[in-house]
Amino acid sequence: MAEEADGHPSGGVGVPGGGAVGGGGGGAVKTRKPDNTAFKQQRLPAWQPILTAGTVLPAFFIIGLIFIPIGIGIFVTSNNIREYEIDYTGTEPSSPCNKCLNVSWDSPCTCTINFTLEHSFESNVFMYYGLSNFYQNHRRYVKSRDDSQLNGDNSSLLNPSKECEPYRTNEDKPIAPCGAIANSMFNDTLELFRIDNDTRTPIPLIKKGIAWWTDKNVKFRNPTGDGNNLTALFQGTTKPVNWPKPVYMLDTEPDNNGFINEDFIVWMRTAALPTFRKLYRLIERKNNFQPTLQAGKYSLDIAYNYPVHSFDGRKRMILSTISWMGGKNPFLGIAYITVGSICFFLGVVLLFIHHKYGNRNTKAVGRYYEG
Amino acid sequence: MVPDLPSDTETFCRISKGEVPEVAATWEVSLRKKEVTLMRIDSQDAVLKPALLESTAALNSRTLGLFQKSASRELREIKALGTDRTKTPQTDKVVKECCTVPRSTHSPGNFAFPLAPSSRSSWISVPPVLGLWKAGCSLASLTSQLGRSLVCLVGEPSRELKTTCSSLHGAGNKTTKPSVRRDKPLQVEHKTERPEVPWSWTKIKFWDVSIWIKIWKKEIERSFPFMTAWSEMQLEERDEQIADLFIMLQGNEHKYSKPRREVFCGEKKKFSERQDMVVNEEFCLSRGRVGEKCRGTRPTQLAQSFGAEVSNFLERRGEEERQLQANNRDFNLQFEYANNSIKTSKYNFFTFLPLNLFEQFQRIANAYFLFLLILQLIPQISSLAWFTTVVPLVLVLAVSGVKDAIDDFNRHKSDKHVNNRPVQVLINGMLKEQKWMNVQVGDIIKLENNNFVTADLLLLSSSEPHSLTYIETAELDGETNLKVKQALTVTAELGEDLQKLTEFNGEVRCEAPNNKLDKFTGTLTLRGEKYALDNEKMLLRGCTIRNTEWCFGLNSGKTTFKRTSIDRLMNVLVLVIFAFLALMCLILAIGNGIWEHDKGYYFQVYLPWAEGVNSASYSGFLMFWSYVIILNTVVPISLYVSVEIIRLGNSFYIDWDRKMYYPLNDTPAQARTTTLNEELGQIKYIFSDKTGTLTQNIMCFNKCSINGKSYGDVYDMSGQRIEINENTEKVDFSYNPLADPKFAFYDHSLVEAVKLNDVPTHRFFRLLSLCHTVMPEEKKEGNLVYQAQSPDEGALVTAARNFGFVFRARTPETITVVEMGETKIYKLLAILDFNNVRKRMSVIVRSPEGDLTLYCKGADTILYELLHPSCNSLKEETTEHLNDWIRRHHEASTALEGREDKLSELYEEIEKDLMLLGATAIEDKLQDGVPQTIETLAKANIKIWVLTGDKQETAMNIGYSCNLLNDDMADVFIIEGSTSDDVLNELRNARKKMKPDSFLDSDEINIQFEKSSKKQIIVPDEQANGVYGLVITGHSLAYALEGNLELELVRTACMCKVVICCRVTPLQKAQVVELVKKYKKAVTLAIGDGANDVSMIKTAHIGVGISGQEGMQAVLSSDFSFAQFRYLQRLLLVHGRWSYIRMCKFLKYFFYKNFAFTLTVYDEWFITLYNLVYTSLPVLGMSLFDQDVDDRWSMLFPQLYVPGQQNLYFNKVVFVKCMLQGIYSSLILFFIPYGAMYNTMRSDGKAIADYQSFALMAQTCLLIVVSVQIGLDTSYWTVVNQFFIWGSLSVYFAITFTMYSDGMYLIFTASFPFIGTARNTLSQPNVWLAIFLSIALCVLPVVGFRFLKAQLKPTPSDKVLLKIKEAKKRPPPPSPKRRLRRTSTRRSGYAFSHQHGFGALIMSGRNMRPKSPFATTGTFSPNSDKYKHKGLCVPLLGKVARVSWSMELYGIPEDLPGTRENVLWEASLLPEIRWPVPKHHPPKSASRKCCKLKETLSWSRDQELTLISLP
Repeated sequence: MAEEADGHPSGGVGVPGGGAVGGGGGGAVKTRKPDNTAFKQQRLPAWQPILTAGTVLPAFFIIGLIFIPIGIGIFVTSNNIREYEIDYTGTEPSSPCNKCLNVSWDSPCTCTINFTLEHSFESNVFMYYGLSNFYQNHRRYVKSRDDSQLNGDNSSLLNPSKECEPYRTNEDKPIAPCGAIANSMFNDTLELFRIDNDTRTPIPLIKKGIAWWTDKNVKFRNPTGDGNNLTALFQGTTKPVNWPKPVYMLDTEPDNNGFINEDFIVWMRTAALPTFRKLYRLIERKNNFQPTLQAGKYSLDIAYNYPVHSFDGRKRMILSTISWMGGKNPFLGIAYITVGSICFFLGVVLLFIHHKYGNRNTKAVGRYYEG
Repeated sequence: MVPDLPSDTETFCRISKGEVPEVAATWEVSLRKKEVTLMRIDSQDAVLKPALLESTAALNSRTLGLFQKSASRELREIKALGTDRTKTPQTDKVVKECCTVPRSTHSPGNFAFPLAPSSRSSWISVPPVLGLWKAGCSLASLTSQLGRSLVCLVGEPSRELKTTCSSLHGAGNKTTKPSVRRDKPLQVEHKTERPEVPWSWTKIKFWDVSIWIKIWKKEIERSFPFMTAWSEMQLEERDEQIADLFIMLQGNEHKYSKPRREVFCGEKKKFSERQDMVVNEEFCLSRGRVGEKCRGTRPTQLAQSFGAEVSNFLERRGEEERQLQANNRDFNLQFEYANNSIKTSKYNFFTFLPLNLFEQFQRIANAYFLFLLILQLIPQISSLAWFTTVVPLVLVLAVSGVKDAIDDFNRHKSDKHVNNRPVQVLINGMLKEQKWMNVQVGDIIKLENNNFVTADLLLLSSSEPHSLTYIETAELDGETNLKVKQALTVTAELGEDLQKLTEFNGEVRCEAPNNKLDKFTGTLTLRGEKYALDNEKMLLRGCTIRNTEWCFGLNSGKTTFKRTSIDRLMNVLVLVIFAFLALMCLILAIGNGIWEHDKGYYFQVYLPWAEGVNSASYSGFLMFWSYVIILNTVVPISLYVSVEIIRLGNSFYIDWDRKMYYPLNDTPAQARTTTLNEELGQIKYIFSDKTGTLTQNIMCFNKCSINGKSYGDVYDMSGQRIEINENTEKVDFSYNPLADPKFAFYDHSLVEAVKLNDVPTHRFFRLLSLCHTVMPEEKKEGNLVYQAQSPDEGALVTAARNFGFVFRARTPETITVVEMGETKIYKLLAILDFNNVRKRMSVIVRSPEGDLTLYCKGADTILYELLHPSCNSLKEETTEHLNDWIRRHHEASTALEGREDKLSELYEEIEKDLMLLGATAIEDKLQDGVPQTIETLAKANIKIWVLTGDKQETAMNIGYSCNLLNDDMADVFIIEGSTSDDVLNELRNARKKMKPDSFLDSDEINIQFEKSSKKQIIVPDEQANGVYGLVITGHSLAYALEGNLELELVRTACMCKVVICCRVTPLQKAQVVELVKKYKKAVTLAIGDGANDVSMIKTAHIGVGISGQEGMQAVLSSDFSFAQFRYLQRLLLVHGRWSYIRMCKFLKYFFYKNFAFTLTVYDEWFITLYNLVYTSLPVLGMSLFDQDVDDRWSMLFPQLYVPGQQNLYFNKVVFVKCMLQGIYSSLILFFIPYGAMYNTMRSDGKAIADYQSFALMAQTCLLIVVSVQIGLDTSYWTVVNQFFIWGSLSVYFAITFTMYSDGMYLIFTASFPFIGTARNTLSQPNVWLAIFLSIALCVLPVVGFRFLKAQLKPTPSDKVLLKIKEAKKRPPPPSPKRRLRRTSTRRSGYAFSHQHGFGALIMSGRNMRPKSPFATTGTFSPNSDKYKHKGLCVPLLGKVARVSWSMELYGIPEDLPGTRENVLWEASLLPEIRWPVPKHHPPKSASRKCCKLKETLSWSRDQELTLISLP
């Protein structure tokens, strides 16, 4: 074939002679011969991997061998975490909170649940409230907020976004904070007591440091204006419908009041799933000689304000310690172990198949090659 | 022996009555040969003679051509001829006698019709007349109106004539028996009074369909008056078609079965709609099916194109006729003809935006996004931010818009280039330079040699004698030979006289612009006289011309957009996705409804229903639309854009490929259409033209055998043959000042022989220099240019010229030859011209010495039979013979009637007992690499069909020489039947032989045929029991393309490895392509170089034009173009395959990533950017750079091409797999993060399961997973790929961190609510653990599955890939060695020119210059007066047999087992050239003599040559 004459593959720029012959016209012979670059000739240097037994089988084995120990590690870690959970919704008649089941926003109700910790909680303990069947992930719910307002934007404060409907205004006054999320803020108050020989010792619960730093310091801000009087700053707004008191009265401490109230911030970070937990309080370990929570009897005092019964919701209180990889979650560990094992097993199966059928292929290729 | 033709009326009538059987018999023979029922009249009758002479003269000079044309189209036409001198009563009497005589069995009836008009050119074809008859006007009134009567009846009546006749009788007898009553002849009444003309016909155009309709509806009883109008206009083909139509309509439709009629009625509707006519139910049009039933043997080629024709010309009715006046712009302007500028661009500056947007929104996906945008404006529904839709849409629109704008800009540029070409226009008596676009209808323009013709022009006069103009029509029909055009005598007088030209004020009426290249009708009115204009006066390249009309390009219509099958599939898939989307939304909406009903209703405490929503179902309804928005990403908006970009990129690769660049004429390959690339990887059928595509169409004088000695090969000292290449020393022709410097010959011994005055050699070259119809041109002394009608003839004369026998000049009577420096003038006594039947030509010349010689050259098969066994005793005999013959030749050639046939007979008589002078080998060189290309393509399972206008022998020769056909084939079927039944039988026999099973009822395909309706049959591939070839002639093809044979043809032809269709018309080429497209689910490619290929190039899925030659027509309508046929294999096997693989991989990946993406919840910004930013570049990188194996391997293993043909890499199944994989990934990507987050918390104790963290986690997983997936899919990792993938990932992280940063939030609070999520989430170890887990779960199954598939069910390409992989470990394979193999099968051919020669023209002297400037005087003609000397008359009858000889190159990869031996074996055959007689085609009268001569002719050195020596 005459392709040899066309200037390939000896590289370098082809001799333009061929073009000159064809150009014929003399003068400035501008040949239309394409450039001889690796790119244009599709000869870029490249690496061409191919799925062969030599690469695939070891990959399976190695992945299996890596995943299984990781999985075991995670599983053990997860199992070492102490966790205690109480459902205090009060749906069962025996529950002390049964009386509060049909609580409404304006008639507070308190109940006390006693429980016993079998094991002591050694490190810092985190106290969560958990809600089930609560659709914080509903599309309209998620959208029903005004980030500008929460960020302290004064114009949004008085004129909240339309997304907040129907919790945008109340009696012609803008709601601050507006929207369904804020309106439905969890407002049970939980207190923990240690019962030691019938004496109830309150356990100090820290309410700061439960929100993301970025939320507390960047995303949420109180409106700005003259002075630091929140009451004045929120002038002209009204409280969310369900709230007993306005946003500037959420807490007494000024750096935890208004929009930057951490309970509020935590609530505003909407959950992805209908069953979720949110951090409520921290229980710090006092000293190194005593566990944070000793095994023994405790009682939980609940100011039951938050109705969930109408939609079959459940409320829980969770006490948990954490590890390097977070809270108690056997899923990852089990998943890793399973996947690792399957990989390993698949590796063996593939090896077997390859051993049995692999040779046939090379033969077939030979035959094909002749054909 | 042929009896004398009848010399008086009585005999004539007797003959026609069949009373002179022997005469009638011979007539019939000759008539049948031509398939024309043509009456020849010869009469000495004083009364009849003038008329008959007139008519026959006209017949001979003009009509014969017409008849032959119609014969070739096999229209059994009955021509009526008219003359106004037959008016005498005697004539009528005679005529009447003839006609009323019962027709004998020998010559039953056709009609010839003398009509009245005064014009000489009053030819009327009968079909319209028949139409009239049918339309209700009786024959009697017809003839009486015309005032003439029927003349004579010859030949067999065709079937439609029978029906006509019967209906004629039926008018009187009320019988409709469809047979002619032999006993009752046509009664022709004579009435002299003219019936009244119902209204003025003068304004009615004869092609006005409505008239026909009226006639047909019998509204017009007497429709004949406009017959006269016809006679002036010269009926055209289409009018006959219309007439035929009505015959069909009227007479035959009752024969059709019901369903078929319904089909026709569909057509009818179309027809009637256009016409706005009331058409009753019985009015049915057909598109070709009619032919088989009502027309009997009539070929339906016409009828097939008929529907299209009708609609075409109905469209054209807007401008039915053109009228214009030369030099009168004002007059012409009133008609508002189009000007001469061309416009191919679509937009201008202002219309671009609206038009382009309009076009873009016609795309489903774009329109969909617009719809989404509107949906998003509804607050209840709006679920995503506005930018998620707008940003991609705007980007997509912008990219496409820019591309369109650039395209259109380029079109504007090229239009401008063409429009601004200069041309000389005669304005106010002065020649002025004008731009092409400013030329107007009616301008007179001057063209010079080698100019492109500005517009369609009427030739007025030229610089050549007799106003002849030679034109080359390569651009239009691909034929590179010259054609002669001649101006009218009246206009020829104008000459170059500007004054006269300015005063020229002729008025032209002609047909409107159309796309017929070979037809033209019009009249020129000059000083009150009318002159007919035909195609002979129209030109495409000439000298001084008058512009008549329209614009430059004949084919500059709107190009039809071709779409690839993947395109179509893609559209289907997008629809599937829509359906899927709708389904998903529906399910989700219902789910939402249920949820709202069960839960949401109660949850209203915290989340009240939206305003206006009062029930769960309404909420569900709204939710449906919300989901449509949310899930919009399933519909891939960037799909189209990305596909366009990929195709564009791959097109650029084609443009850039150096291996498809042809240095000799500096032509790179060109992808003219950038949207068809991947289809190149799926070609299953290639339809190739021959001339100029497979061959170079350059004839080289390559070898010759003179007196038993072969010349042409070069041998070295040891007697080994040397390969001729660039470096071989050429023969030095410097001794001959008139030699053509371009001529190359390598064998020095021939020159020696010439120089040594070897008599046979001299005689041989003398023959070459004398026996031809070449026209010399000597503008400058010594600089001869030959204008040959066929390139092979030119090659021979040039060869003779170089060896010292220079053909210098010719006059009608003489030929001037410079023989070895000595000018000799031969007296030319006769030229026995070439034609297809004779396959030879001869000249009879008298040498200056007085020798009378007949030189003959022709096809060897023919000439063998003409050779005399011995020539010693021949002298006396032949002299006498010759003298006698010349006398008779003179008589015959002056005879007015039947001259052609007489001449043929006479030619036969003299051209015999020839002596052999030698043989030449002319090589129509195959283009380089054609055989290998064909072999490679065949290995790639591509079927190659050669469609050529050449005759069968040539086509087969080429088939053999380019390895399409070979002697290893089990059989080569030749289909050449001339009736429908014959063709059917031949086809069936062929199929029976190839696959006997296929006739069983149990055969799957037969069963399938039974079941399915005839319309949508897809014929599956069938395997023959061997390798077969099929050759079908255009003649038979016409039948085979008829309705019921189509399937037969497809089944039979597709079983064959090779199909060669010869003698096909451009229309048939397109039909064949259409046929395969229709019945085979296969991608077709047509390749050609000339305008005759345009139709098939446009019809095929992919059209390829061979560029670099003169003709651009094919290239202009093609999708890809390059200079050499051999580049086709690279285009298909490398570029096509890569493009296909890339596109498939792209689509697979694209759909995968979209499905994987859509089913989870994300940040709005991620949704916006995912397709456009994060994942677009890696997949583009893959689709632009990926190659599974490099080009060398692709070519070496053509088998790799097969999966593409079967569309294995991307089809609906693959799509479903992608979808499932996507859904699987999607589920993984949701549930792994779900599991990892469920009821757990971060390592700092804070909640992790918030929606934003979850989204971020999922999207990070997704992005890494799809990146890994593309890594798996990529098989060719270049730096760019790496860069794109890593780049995209880093861009993702960069953008994510930026968007979620404090700064962005503080600036655009509402738009970036995800602040801090990235920092907070990605720092968590369990997030990363989940990510890794997702990756493993998404990717490992794919890897495992692919590995398993490769192990258990490897595809052929897998095997080859593996093999290549192994081979790569070794040093790279040497580039395939090219070896020589010679298969010099003797495939005879005086093959190349297939037209009538120039002979008659030369002899008439019409094309001669009055005086040739250098011919008779000058240094090279010392013996110029010798011709006066009368010497002895030594007759020499010589001949040259020409043998086509071909030589091929074979490339055989060295490491393919089994081929090396082949090569060696072939090599051992080299010194000798085999001459196997084709098995299938034994020479017709293979006498012993022949065989002996064949042996003699073989170029074998060892054999004793038994050539006849001279007396």
